[in-house]
Amino acid sequence: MNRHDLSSGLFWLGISIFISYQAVQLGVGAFSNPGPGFVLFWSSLIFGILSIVLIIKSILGKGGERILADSWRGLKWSHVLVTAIALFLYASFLTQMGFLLMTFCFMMLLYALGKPKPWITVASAFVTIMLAYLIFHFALQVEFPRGILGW
Amino acid sequence: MYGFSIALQPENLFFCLVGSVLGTLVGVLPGIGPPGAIAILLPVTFKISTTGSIIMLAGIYYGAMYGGSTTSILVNIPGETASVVTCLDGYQMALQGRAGPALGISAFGSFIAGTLGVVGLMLFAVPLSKMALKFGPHEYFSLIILGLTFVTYLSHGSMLKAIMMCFLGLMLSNIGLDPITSTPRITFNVPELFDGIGIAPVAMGLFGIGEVLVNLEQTVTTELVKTKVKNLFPSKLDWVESKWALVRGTLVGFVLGILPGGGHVVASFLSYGLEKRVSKHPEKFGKGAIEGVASPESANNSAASSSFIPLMTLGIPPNVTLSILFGAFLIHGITPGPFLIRDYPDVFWGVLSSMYVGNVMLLVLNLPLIPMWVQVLKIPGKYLYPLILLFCLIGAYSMNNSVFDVFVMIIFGVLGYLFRKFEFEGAPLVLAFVLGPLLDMNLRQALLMSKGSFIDFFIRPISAVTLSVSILLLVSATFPFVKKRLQQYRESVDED
Repeated sequence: MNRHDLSSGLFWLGISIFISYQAVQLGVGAFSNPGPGFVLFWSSLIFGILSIVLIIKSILGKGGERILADSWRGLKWSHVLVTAIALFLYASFLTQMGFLLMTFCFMMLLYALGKPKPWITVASAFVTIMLAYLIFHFALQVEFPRGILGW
Repeated sequence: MYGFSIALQPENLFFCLVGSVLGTLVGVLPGIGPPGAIAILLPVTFKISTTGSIIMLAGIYYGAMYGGSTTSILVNIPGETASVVTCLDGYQMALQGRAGPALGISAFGSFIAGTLGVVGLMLFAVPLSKMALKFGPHEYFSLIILGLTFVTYLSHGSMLKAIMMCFLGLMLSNIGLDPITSTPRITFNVPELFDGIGIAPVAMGLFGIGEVLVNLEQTVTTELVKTKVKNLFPSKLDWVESKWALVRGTLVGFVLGILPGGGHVVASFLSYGLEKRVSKHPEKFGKGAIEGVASPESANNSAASSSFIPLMTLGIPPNVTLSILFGAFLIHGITPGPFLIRDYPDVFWGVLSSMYVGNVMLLVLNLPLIPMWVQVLKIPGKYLYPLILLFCLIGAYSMNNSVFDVFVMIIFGVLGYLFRKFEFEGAPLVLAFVLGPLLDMNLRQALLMSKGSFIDFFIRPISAVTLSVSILLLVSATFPFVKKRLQQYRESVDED
């Protein structure tokens, strides 16, 4: 059994059921007078059928024996997890904290993943945000959130 | 001449140079390709004129074709997918102390093919645009289906998963107000979703953030060939050996570039295979044959030029990179298609002429700059990847000064990472996402016109031919012989 494909197939099947329901709510219409949910409905229906095919193939073992952990074995997946969480935190607090402060913290964290000396991490993050601010704010006139620092 | 008067304006020359150099950089650096780079730089172009923006973004696309070969030859790591095949003979030549001629023939071949591709583009664009004016919703729907079929047919991984990604892209493209009835679709009353999801956050997420996340968990060590890069100008013998490879590569690339879903990657693979087949010494391939470098490099550059034909004349992007460029056109208020030449001749002819200029710039700049590109390869990932992430974040935010776009990009970034893990491809999704609104509108209009009958799709000649080809392709993929060849092609791409 290919648990890899089985899990993704089940996930996509759930998505297709949800989208089909939404499309029906919108109004599928008829072939002679298609409604706003027409393409959405047929796309999600075919998508659902393909998901079932993927599930069946995975149960029959056509993609070989695989478990979910196979894709992460021997890799530095913790870096990805930390970065993804940091990205979401960055976007969540960007407006409140401001571009400069939030980006400085974000870049420090990302540089620290490479395990350089602490002062190199701080200096690199500082230089990066200054350059980014100069280029994007002053040269390209991007208005960043000022946040608690008011800059 | 009109086009050159626009392309040679100092501002446009500058953007052409920036695009070409950035494209080469993107081609050199493994980990980020032209789709990601164009998506990241898309918001930067908001402050630039439309012509300048498209000139720069197009420069990134064809510039990457030049740059990709450098890493393939010197490090055996393709900076760009289209340069995967170049590794086979290019790296072997470098090991034999012939890195110079390999890089030289790659640059000259790219220049010749790229320039001839633009000539072809100029010759074909006007008549095709005139023909496209006669297209109705049936024809457009069928052409879009053909494009999506080609993309799934030539996908690297499982065809089933590629088709699924196409349908996922179609569903995502339906988010927002219905273009015909203005009914909100899957918006959950979120005002930001009423305009739909933007192509830039989706592409930046899938090809920028997703790519970086995949690279963050790997430890990549690049070993440069310990040889001096000398004799960049190929010898007379090198030219004799590779001249027909250049011609065949250019022709194969040009034809495949026009086909929806074809593009530069397929062109480089097929031209290499063709060259090996027609060669009197096929045993030399994979051991440092100069034809093995000349052919794919000319094919991918020729394809990069000719792929602008369907985009600019029919308004149908044939591959994922050009679908992001299609988004760039729309953001600047221009719809590519048959009316582009009539309504925006400055953009059309300016961009086309800039491609000649860009090819000359790439040839003149790239050969002397090869030592610099080699140094660029030494930038550690621990500094490079955070910078790419920062560019993506700033790019997504600056589009509408909205954190919502940043969230969309991050979500698609995580999805892009998971797609890689679960072996789903992002390219069919993006192409379907871009073509989705066109498909939706044309299908519904066609059905209204034909009162719900699908027979009209098979009565109109162009629609009938394109739909038949799509059906044939899909059916043929189930034949054992075709299935085996497709499997071999996909495995060769995956292994490299």
